[in-house]
Amino acid sequence: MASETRMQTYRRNPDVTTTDVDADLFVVVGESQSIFHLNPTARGIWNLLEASTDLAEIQALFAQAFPGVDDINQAVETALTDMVASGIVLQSQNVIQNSDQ
Amino acid sequence: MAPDWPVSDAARAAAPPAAIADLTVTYDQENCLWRLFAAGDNGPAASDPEPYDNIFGLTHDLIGRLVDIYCERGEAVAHLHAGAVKVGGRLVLFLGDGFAGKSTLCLAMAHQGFTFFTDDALPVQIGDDGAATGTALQLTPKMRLPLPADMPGEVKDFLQDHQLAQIGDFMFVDPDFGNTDTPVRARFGEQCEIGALIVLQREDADAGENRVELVETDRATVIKHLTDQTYARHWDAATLLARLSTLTAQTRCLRLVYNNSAAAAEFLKCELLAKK
Repeated sequence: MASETRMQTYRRNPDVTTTDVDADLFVVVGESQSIFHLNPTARGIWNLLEASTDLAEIQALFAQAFPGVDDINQAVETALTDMVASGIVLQSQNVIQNSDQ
Repeated sequence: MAPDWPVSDAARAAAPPAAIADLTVTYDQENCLWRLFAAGDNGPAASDPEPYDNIFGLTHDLIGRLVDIYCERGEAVAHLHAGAVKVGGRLVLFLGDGFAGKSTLCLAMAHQGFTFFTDDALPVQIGDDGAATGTALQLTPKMRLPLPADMPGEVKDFLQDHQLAQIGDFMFVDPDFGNTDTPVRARFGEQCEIGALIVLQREDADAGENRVELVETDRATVIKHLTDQTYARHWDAATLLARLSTLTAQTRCLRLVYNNSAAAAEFLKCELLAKK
């Protein structure tokens, strides 16, 4: 009998334009016409989302890059939630069919 | 509040202006409430705007709307909430939230003899090359009451001596300080190139002795303040960001940390004139 795994994946909103200001990044969300400044965590997530990916993968990459930082998983999840709420990042649910043997 | 604005009676004019801002003020005598309707509100039955129980609130809102409309008529003009004084032939803008001390610092600078442009509203024209010009609207500066704890007693006395009116929690001050022969306030429509953008960081006056520090700051910090304090409904967000980006690239970006406005004004006088 086959089972299902539901996985949240994230990708950049294509309706977002970016502006580099020295080492900082600002984004404009087209639909809401809102301007956001990305903090270092959000900028890191934005860079990783060049390709669609899921929360666990992003958290793993951050944990690898910042091994001594406490609560890095929580920081990533919070930043990602904010980015979705702001319309910077789009969230979608993928259903993966598992074949149980 | 805006003593020398050009005002004409459109109803009596032989040829009324082609585009009149469609703003309507109503007064509810029974409840003593003022309301300001903008075009599209269609009167009280449609969407009631927030009522005002005093003429000050209404006038403040009305002036803000008129400045927005004035700016929207200029393609490259935005309405910036900032203080501005002219130092060495260029405008120095003070950026910050409602309690950062913009009015106090602008009046303290005017007291030092610098031309007062505004403590609140400045139309700013930004060119594609980032060169920016501010225009004086000759609005009367207002101080929130009570006056700041960091303000020396003699300065408080001086401002109170030149108080024009007190309405609600605000005191309106004559920025010319009674000097009609050589006014300190820029005349209506006077323009000046912007030379510096200063983010204000006001610290607790009880922290100890006077602290004044002026340091270079990053453009992103200034842009964050500017995006919060700039009203330009006629620009899309990408245009606003692009123009603020070029403005900050062409203009000195500074941060002023201080706990005494009079000492800060004296310090700025020396620093900005020395580095102009």
